[in-house]
Amino acid sequence: MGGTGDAIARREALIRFEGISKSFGRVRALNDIDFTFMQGECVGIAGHNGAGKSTLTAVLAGVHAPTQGRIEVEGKDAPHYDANAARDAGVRCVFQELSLCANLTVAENMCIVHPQLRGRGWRRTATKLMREKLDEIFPGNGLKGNELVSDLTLTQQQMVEIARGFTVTDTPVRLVILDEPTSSLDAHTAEQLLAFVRKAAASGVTCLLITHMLGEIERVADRVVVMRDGSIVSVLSREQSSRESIIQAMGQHLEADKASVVTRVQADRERERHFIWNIGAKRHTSIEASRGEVIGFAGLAGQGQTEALIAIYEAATKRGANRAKVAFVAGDRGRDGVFPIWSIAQNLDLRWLAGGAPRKRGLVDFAAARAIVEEWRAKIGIRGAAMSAGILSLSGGNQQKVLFARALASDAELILMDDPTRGVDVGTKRDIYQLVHDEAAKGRTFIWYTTENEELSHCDRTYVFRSAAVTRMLHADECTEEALLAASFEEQAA
Amino acid sequence: MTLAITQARLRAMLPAISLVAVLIPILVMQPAVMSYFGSSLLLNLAVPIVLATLAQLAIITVNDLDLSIGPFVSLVACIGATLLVKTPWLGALALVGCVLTYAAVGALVELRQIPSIVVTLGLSFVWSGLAIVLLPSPGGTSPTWLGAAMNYQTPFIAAPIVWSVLIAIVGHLLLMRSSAGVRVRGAGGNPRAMRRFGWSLVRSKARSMASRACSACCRAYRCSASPHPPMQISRCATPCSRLPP
Repeated sequence: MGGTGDAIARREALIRFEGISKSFGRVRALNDIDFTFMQGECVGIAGHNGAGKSTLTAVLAGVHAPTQGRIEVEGKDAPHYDANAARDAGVRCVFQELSLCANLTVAENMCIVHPQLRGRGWRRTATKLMREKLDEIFPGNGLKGNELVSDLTLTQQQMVEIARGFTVTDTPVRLVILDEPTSSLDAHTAEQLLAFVRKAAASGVTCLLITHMLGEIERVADRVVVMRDGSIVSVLSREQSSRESIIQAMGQHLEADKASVVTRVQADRERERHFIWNIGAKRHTSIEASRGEVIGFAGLAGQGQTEALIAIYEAATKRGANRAKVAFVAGDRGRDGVFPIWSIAQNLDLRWLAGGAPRKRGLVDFAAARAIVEEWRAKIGIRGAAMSAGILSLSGGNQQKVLFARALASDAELILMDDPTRGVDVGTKRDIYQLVHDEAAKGRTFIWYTTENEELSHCDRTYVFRSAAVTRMLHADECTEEALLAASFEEQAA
Repeated sequence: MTLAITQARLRAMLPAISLVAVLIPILVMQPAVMSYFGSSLLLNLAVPIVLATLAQLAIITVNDLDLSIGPFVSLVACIGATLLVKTPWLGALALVGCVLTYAAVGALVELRQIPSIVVTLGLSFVWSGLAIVLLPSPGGTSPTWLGAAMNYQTPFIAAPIVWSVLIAIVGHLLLMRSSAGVRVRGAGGNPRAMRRFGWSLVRSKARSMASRACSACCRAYRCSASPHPPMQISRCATPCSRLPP
């Protein structure tokens, strides 16, 4: 097969969707999708949250059966296309909400994807396969294969999940779906992954890249599928797929002026520092913040930023000089954020009940709770379900909005955010940035850890972390891509 | 393999450390416990407990809880004291039936998405009812071969220790080392992921429930055939109250 051939027409069709639709109850998640995945190409999929990207991949991975339409595998009709049929066709999926079992080791997680791993010596085979793939995709990862997944950082878990998707036992891998693969990876590992995706495509493995990082799609994808409201609105070729054209097709506008932030900062620089925390080993690291300021935490992923946030949270909730009303927006939604069996409203007003809610003879004032939920629903634009519906009926981005509203609806004066825009679409991000600016103007202080360097332009000051310590503090006007990278890779002077 | 103390190893060592913490004061107060006869006396009743714990472990592995273990053991002991002695083939059939019923219960819990606590609580009355039908008043005998097997004296090391170690090794191999055991644990750890990759949760729940029933059966016989009055142990009391000491 001409894996290196550049003309798509010469490649063979791998999986063809014909008129695929999928409904969940009354909600139509996919609408009449016609698309053919060719061998050895890299397809990028872009779209808002709730545009149907995740449903499309679930159908392709055989998790959901389509309500309507036909699926063809290599030109042959596949009427019963389920998870096992997908596996036999060589389709693998790297899911956005990681699908690792946290109570198993890295190697043991292999045998969930590969039923062939059984009998004597399966553990050795699994470890070998996993380590080979990890070293191939992420050289220098330092994982041994016998670690429990729950002991790994989110970044490492994502690396394991990705590597597992590419491992081969007996059926060859022919199509790998990568759903937001870089959302928890730092710039360095994301780079390694993208390079590997190009290499895999060249060797004949089709890659499906779903991401909100349009720059990544622009760089690796041969074709870009833009989705909106469950339909494919356009398919762009490599030449046409610039960031601007993708956003245009998605129906959104590029965010513009950041100048206002910078000018505001200049004036505020001399303000007195309201909060001072000493954290980290031997309390060497000092973090300062004043009222109404937005502080950024930057650096490679997993360099102690989350730990610093937690230390600040603990300091702020303890009795003492640093005591402040504080709220936390979790980044790892599934684990630290949502209460999965509660409704959207219950998830939203939780922090408000703990602080800020008026009491009615010691009982919860339901009318006030309904009012605050309604107020924030309108303010933050939570779409897709009634407020009494379960939180899991919302798409990932909308769940994140609820978590934001939970923190902002309270009386907290200090808001800590742990990479809150992970896996959130451009439109929602813009809403979130606007909210942060508005609330900061009202005197709230934000501390914002992010893995996306673009977001630091919204911060007044940025602390760059390396090995659990701050290497540099950058003001908004100094916070350029080069300065950030330099500080991120700076070795700490002992 | 390295000998570094990792978080996972520390977690795994916790039960061993607590066992040592219990044993040391006992040894200090009563050094005779160290002898063959002493350790046999001390640990004899531990084996049924080990089996009962394994039975409960099989259920907890798939994130369920079982409330009917006592009555179920009681029923199995009654089958052993009546059917298994009079008509061995019918007794064996009844035991197999019990295990299969338990597997079916596991499948039902998963298929209908009902809480296992509710189902097993309801079933516990069914089990005790059946036990009373089989053996309305205490009595019956255990089959002689079973009694002989349970009272077998091992050389050098007391039988209960040998039994416990054997059970631990078999349990470890089945649950922790075999790929099937890993998949059952996976079903408990992240059921959504298992379903996505095309594994049947119904089957793994059924499997874990059946293995639970098997170890409960073992426990019932270990308990009923033990040479010492097992009334001292509350968990053992249910089945053994229907048997002569």
